Amino acid sequence: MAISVFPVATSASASGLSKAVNLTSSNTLYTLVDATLTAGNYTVTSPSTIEVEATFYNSSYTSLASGTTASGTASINLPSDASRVTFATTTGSNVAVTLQLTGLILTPNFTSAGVETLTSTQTYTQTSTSGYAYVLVVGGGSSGQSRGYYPGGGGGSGGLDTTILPLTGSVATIVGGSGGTTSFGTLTATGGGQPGGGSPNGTGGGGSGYFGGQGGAGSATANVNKYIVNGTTGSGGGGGGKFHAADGGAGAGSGIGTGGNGGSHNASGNSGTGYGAGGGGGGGGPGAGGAGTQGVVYVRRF
Amino acid sequence: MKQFCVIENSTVINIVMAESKEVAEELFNKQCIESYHSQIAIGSVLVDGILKPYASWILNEFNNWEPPKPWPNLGENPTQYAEWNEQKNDFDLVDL
Repeated sequence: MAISVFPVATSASASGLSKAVNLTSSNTLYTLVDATLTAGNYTVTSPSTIEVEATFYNSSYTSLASGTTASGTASINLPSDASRVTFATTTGSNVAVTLQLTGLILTPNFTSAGVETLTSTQTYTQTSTSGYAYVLVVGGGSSGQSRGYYPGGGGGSGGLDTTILPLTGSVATIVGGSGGTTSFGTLTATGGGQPGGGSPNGTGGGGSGYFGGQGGAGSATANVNKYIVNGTTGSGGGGGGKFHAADGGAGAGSGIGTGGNGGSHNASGNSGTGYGAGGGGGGGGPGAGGAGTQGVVYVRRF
Repeated sequence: MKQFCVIENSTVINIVMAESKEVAEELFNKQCIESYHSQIAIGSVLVDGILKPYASWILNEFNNWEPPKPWPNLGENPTQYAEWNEQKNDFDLVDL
């Protein structure tokens, strides 16, 4: 069998890089030298009556994957990057063949450390293979209001923010307490307020019931990055009014934190649970606001 | 884990979780005071060694800080909430 190295026509299509070659003669091994043969799924096409064999190699000619067209097509799964591919046919001349990348191989790239939960202020010293990590910061939830004779509003949830950040081996990490600001390097989420939520993405606390009304319900935040933590936190419910035994509103959020329920008349609001959750507002009378919960930093290295 | 108020110019500038007062003070290079009172927030003040929501507020028998004036009557289904203004020594009414 003869050996030939040939130039090819290359084009980009919606589904991936496509290369067109022409096998001038049968029983000739043609080699395409190309450094851009990325690992993935390739489709080889040929005339339906002509079988064409394609084999991928690395730079030292170790065979990585191969396939032969049947009825004009072959699907080849290339497990790692190749730098050359050979074609051959036993019949025909001027056989038109196309090689198209039809799918990239994606592998889970998180480290075995899983999701790390940082609950105290520190210097983060871990690194990763890529040098980066997904990070989600949550500010501290605010305590619910205590307004003496009048019912108090629910505490706002802490803010939430997420991004990919470099791991330098020394990243300043501040974890906010109740109502405090949390940050990891340049990523910051402020604590909840009374009644507003922290920034960004925090939610405000439920309104107070005033004299006779029921307290408003708290509200849950958005699920900002389910690949780190699939959950929300939320604000506290407002306190119930002084008269008519009015109930407090319900807190909201789950997965990261849950806002405390507002206190009914004369009762204190419940504290939030988890992270970044607002406390319930105090009920009318001597009811005090429930405590908001501390913030947190989640890190998922890759 | 303990909760500390970070103090700058007698004002709380952040509330953080840390293993100890020493760790918090070394990281921020500022005075840090352990505190868990639910009414102490960013912006609270340190007066004569005591953390208060505002300098003029007083602690009642239920261990709650209260303003020197009663909370305003906003009626049923209020469209505003009351926010204490220490300079005016009175409440501001803020739209919800």
